[in-house]
Amino acid sequence: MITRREMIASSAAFAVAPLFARGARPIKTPLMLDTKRMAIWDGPGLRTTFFVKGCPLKCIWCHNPESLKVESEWARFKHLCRNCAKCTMDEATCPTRALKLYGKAMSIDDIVAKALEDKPFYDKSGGGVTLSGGEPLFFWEWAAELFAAFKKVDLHTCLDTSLYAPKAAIDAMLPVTDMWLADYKAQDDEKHKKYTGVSNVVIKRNLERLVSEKVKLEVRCLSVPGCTDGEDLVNRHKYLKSLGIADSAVVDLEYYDYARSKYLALGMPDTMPRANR
Amino acid sequence: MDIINRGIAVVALFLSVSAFAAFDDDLPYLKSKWRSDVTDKSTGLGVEELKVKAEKIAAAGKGVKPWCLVKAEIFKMVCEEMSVGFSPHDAFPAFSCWSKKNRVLTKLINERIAEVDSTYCPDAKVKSKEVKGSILRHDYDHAVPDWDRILKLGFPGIKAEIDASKATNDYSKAMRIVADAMLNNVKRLVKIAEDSKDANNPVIKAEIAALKNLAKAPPKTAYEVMLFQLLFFYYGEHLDHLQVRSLGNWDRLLKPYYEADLKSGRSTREEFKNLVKHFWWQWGSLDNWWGQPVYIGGTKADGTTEYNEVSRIVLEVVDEVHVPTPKLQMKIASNTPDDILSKALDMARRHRSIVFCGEEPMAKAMAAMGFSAEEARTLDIWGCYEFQPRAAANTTLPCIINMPRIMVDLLEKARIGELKAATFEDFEKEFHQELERRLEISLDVVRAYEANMDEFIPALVHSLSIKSCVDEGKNAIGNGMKYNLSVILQAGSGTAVDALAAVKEIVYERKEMTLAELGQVMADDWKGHDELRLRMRASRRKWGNNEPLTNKLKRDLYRVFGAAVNGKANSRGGKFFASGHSIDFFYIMGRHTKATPDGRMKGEEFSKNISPAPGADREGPTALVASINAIDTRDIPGDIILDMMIHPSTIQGEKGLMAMKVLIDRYFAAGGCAMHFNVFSAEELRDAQEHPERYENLQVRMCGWNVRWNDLSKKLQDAYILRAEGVLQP
Repeated sequence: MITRREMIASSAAFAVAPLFARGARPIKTPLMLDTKRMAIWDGPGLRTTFFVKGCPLKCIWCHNPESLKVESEWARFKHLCRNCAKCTMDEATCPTRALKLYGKAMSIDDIVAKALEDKPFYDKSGGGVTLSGGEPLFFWEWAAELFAAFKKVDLHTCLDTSLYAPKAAIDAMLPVTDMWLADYKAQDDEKHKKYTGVSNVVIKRNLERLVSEKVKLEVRCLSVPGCTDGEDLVNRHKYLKSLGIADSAVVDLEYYDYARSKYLALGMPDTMPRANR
Repeated sequence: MDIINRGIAVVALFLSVSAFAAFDDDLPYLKSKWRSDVTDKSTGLGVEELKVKAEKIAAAGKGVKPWCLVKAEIFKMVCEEMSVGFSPHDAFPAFSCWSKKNRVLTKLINERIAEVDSTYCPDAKVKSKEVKGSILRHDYDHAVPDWDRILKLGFPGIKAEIDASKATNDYSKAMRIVADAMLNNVKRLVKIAEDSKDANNPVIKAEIAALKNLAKAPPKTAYEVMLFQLLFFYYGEHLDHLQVRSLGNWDRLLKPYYEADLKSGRSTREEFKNLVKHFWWQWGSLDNWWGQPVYIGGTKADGTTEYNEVSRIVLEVVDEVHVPTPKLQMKIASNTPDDILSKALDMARRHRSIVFCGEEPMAKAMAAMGFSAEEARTLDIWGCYEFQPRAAANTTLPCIINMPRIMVDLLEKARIGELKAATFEDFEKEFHQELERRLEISLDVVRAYEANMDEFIPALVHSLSIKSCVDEGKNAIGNGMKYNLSVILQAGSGTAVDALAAVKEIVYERKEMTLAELGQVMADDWKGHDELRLRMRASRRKWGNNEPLTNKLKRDLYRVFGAAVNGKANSRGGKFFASGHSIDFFYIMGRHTKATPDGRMKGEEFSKNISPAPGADREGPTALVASINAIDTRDIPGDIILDMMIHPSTIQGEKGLMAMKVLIDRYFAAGGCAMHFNVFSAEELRDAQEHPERYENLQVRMCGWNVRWNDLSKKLQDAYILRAEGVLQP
């Protein structure tokens, strides 16, 4: 009998082709999802993290479901909405901010200017900027351009990525990325395909490339109960060790299912597995 | 003599072990000590009987003797007749005048103020009403004794110095009576303790030994210093009716005594720490709403830090006793040891009562007020986080300007057709002019109120601690100090700025209504305009987001405020200065102030200190700190305080500590003097749940990422609240 999780994972909504492999990405410049200032967990020091919208993966546990589509989309948070019946679909006029538009255009100049607002904090703490998502490498030409602009103003750069990207993307990012924060979601490729919609073959290849390039790297392993916990996590650790990645550069992340309200607000099916607590 | 000293040393060692080894056993007594009368009634009178006697002395002296002599006689009577008590559970004595709300002199001083006002400045009160919604008051409760001096003198030395003073005026006569009364009270305590049923208890025995020494010499041990401080505090605050607004630079003061105790074998580190716990609990028990300030740290003349082992013990005690008062202030500089700063920040995120004060920005503010670098290096922090030259200054806080009320009154004038402003710039100019007008009246009223302070608050105990006052027979809270400062506070400057930005948007940019119509909406407390109110409340154009318009409005507001106040002469031979401090008037005034265009409803609180209005800072802590760069902190040198609201989960672990260090470093670099980390409690989270619009920037940490509080479902918010309460359910 097919489980609910398997049903969702295999549904049309999650049937994703590796678009970059065919060279047919829909857009080159992403919409921006959010800016998080004083981020302390996205690389060294105090940082500003910029989130792009759009991801080639469709992880069923995604905690940023608003980052999946490349197009902008509206969310309505029911617990904030007063049902005033005067909704203008204008975020600025929503009196309770129940209405949220995910995905806004932002030029590279604007992003750099925003990043520079907190430069004194980076300088004091050894911080900088982090690009996250979504998947930044889904827009790698743009990301490389952005990072080059960051480097021009002497900002430390971190790239938070699934590493699901072509070789050209890695080539482009290597000269402008000071630190890589790589997710490694499952060792078992069948599980990887089932829960993220894509194979891990490309990811492993890129990971091995980064190791060979001796980049500053942190690998993050999320352990999702009933999906990628237990043996798969052990195997991931073994694999990473076999690549010569130090234990100190491997961070295990505990899974929480706190993003359910965002699935509801976006009108998306809630695919999040249940957390242990 | 040697034998006697050795004997005292042995007794003191015995005291340390026996009295403080079982601190938890003493806690029930300590908790009740300053919340009820625990004295032995056979030793003297209770507070009500003392009040009756005091009124008789006052009545007999009225029109016959100067008030300072009458007050001194009342002080002497109370010292001689109040009941006292000793307990084997406490290293310090108890007194019948225990209640801060029921002091012997309160009624008499208030009557005296009324008399002085009607005699010298009968019009001042009427004039003060023109400064609508603001507070103009007789403030005298902000004195810091010269602890360095009086610890060297002790009670006998204090008496000897005033007796030897060449001053012969009535004030010096009154000081002599008080110095004599304090010393005699110490002797009386010895006698009562020796006669008490517990006289053979080792704790009481040691207490008697310490009191005996204080009756004949300055304090010699750390225990005697604490006993001396408690007695001086009690004489000053409870009997002489003047708050002792700091226990001083405590780690620096105690260090030589602590080290001497260790060296002589009188005490160990652990015993000293337990004694400090007893000492801390005196104020924990007293629980004055105004809190008991004490500060640690600083920089020596050679540039090295004042932090020492006593500082570390103080931090451990503050962490372990976890009482809201004494409230600890810490001087922070680049030389502050990292272990001290890390420990203190960790405590702050666990709700311990600590404020972080930057030595460098305080020095800048002091320079703007005309003080020397040496006066800045050795400044006393007092009150909430105010500062002044040590042993050379007094400060009154006689006026708190209600900034949002200016907006309310201007919009009311617009509503009734008395104010028109073609452009926003015209409106802002009206606001500034009205602020200037109110400040001019306020300074005049304060000058009148403060011209005759000796007539109602001769600060006799406090004056005995100040050398110049002893030498010249002057009142240390009047004009007796080198610097007699009057600092003008403000409440709601952030709210006022947000309201100005809202007027700009509603009336001049979007042209949604006229100024008069907006005045009507405010008069109606937003009735029928709830959506506009919520929109304005949710607006991101608010002070604290490092946003250009509100940055400029705030800078200009403080420029006008500072120019109207700073350096102006007061009536005590000193100067006025402007401050960013608001005490708790952001809340008190808010309750009585009508709606403002920033989305605030009638009765809601204002922004406090220089901080944003509740929920207004949506760009996060770094933007808030960066906003401070927009203002010229020299405009408000009296004090520059920021309240950083932050959730504990966003500053977890070592990285969280790093973030806190960076935030205070950058804040101090921007010129801010004091910073609070208001780490959210469960109660605040409940409020956040009920009023999500006020907490848009509140973030909680998941695992490797943060989410906004408002993005969570109610169920998950409940889980966080439970976590905050420490009762997470399985």
